[in-house]
Amino acid sequence: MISKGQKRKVDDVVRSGTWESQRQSVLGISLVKYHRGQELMEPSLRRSVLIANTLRRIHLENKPPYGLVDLAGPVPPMVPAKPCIHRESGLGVVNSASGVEDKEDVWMSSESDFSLSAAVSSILKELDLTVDGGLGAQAPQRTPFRSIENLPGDLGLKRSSEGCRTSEGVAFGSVEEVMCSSYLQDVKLDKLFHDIDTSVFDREMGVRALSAAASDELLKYLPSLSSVPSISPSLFSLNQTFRDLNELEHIMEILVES
Amino acid sequence: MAGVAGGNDFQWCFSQVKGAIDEDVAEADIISTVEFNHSGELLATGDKGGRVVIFQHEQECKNRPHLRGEYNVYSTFQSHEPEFDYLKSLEIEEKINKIRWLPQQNSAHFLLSTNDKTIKLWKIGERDKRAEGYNLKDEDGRLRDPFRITSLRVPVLMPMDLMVEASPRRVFANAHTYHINSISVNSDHQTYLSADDLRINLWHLEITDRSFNIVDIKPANMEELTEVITAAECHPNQCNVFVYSSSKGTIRLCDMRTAALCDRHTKFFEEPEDPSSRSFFSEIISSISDVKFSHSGRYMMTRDYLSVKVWDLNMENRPVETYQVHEYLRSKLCSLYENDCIFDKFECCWNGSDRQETLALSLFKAICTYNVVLWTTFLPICKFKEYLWRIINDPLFPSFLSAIMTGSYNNFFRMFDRNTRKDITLEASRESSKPRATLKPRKVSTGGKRKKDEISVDSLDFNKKILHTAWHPKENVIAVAATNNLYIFQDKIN
Repeated sequence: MISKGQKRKVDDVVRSGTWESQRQSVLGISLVKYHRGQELMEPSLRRSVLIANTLRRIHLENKPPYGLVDLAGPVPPMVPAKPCIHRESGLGVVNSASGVEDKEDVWMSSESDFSLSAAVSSILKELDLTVDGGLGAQAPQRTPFRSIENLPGDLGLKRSSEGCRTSEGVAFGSVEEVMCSSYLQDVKLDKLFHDIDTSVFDREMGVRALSAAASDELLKYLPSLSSVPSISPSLFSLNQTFRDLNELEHIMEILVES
Repeated sequence: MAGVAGGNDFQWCFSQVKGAIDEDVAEADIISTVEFNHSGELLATGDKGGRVVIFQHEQECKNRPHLRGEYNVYSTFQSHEPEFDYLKSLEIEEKINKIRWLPQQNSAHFLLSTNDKTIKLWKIGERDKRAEGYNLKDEDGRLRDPFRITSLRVPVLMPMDLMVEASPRRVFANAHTYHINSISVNSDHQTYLSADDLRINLWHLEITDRSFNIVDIKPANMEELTEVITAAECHPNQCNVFVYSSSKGTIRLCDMRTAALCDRHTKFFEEPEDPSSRSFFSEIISSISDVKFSHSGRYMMTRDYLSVKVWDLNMENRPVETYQVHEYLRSKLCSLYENDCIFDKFECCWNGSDRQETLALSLFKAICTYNVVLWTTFLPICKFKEYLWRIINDPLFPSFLSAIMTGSYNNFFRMFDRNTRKDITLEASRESSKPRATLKPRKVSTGGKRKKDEISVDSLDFNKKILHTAWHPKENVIAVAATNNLYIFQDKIN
């Protein structure tokens, strides 16, 4: 657990490699989980939507969360921090009245997300076909680029995210590079992740202790939380006051009814 | 200070346990919903096998009035059968998702039970008389030859052994494409709503071939779907108001008078995310699994994965109270995501009556009308003031009047006293199941050092989860469903 007042040191930045590996493992788990869920006789829509949202979030947060509130004080401003916070606040903002329709602008940020977006879109489309019995098949096939073109309000976001990408280091996992270089069309999910260095996943998924260690690392980013109030013993005697309370209640009932 | 959450004077003790003791639990026996009726006399449970079991509270023994009566089986029936949707090649589970009692209007009891797709209205009636002496048939049912009948007789009602019959009165089907997660009877006692992942329908209890769709959040393009409905409930007093919660941790309150389709909410409740506690799983753990109005209708309570929040309906930007159920799980979210426990849907419930609010209201009324009271009851002013003063200052006055309960893992369940701000963790286990044995508070050790009697987070059994609990509407009696067993606890009266 991070102690209060501890400043972020340089090695915390270096340790973001563990954050990245946890991100990879969660990504892998999510994909496996999603497909297993689809194989069930009764796929749960809530579960699928939550997993799909987690996948989107993983892909959005392709940096360690510098934007997180630091216990010690202000974090030294970094170039990528601003657009990252912007995206994060986009995720956490109070939704408008119309609900679902506004959410698409949240995840349309960087070019590298397009392929995953396509994958996630195809996931949800398959889900629609399964659950709705073919009604979703009438929806036109969408390519990732079309989604960006339809949203003029996101041009600013797109620019800032591009700036974010160019200024970022190359220290990310192979997932990013695969995304950038692959064709931005509807691709099969398995083919998409075919080139990923699965040795990372195999290591991560096989050893739970490692993921626990990774989550412990993540814990360092989390502040200590206030403890639950403890139970202190009471010395109060019940009987006398119980009788009094009954008497009082009786009187109250008379008063109210009259 | 005493309260439901602990103290020397208030304790929970074991009353009964229902269900098989075997280690091997049949999937069909897993309890999926628990609900007391409005008087508390009946307790209904639904299980994964589509069965409903109703327990009845027996009258207390005359010679031992301090002991509450027991709950015994009153009726058992198969509510839903497994079905197969041939069009989509999907099995429809017979698991009972929710049971809701209708307010009692005559000697029979009515309840609504639902699985993923179909809601049924059941009538549970008693029969303790049988007609004897028919003209056209014998006692064993064989038809008599009409030419042999020489005289007519009037059939006589004879007493018989009590028979409880459950019969389906209405079947509300084919209105939900997605899985039904909630049903809620309206305060007008004529309509009810049913909610699935994307739509909410309003039904009339008498009409089964039509329902009104009042909420529809299905996007035109399913790829844009990011949020589903997780629970819905009607307001206890205002028949035009209802709320529904979402998988993103938001609650929307809608007024049916504003529009036929309540896609635009009247109020929107969401707590801003704490940026310091963000993780990949922030959204999943913020998904609300249950929403319940308080009895007065002024507050509502929501349950997400790690906490219970109480909201004032007049304040939308944050809850008025937040209770941590099992915060020690926050560091284990990745493992819980892996083993799917993070998707568990815990329910929550209020205690029987928000007596604090009722008494405060009574007090207010009394103050307003004390002139009349003095005249009619000849109560001296000084005595009345003294009583009022004692009421306000009595330490017991605010306590054990407003509490909430919810479940956790390892067969633990938690109770929070809203007045004393104390909480307690109890366990539903066979080991502490001796008659009227006091339940010992349990504690989960989070730090390095584990004290005696504490259990460490890693030793928790995540297969033993308490998802469904219910509180008697009038007394301090609670029903806790632990997998296939139903535990009944009550308060210890000294």
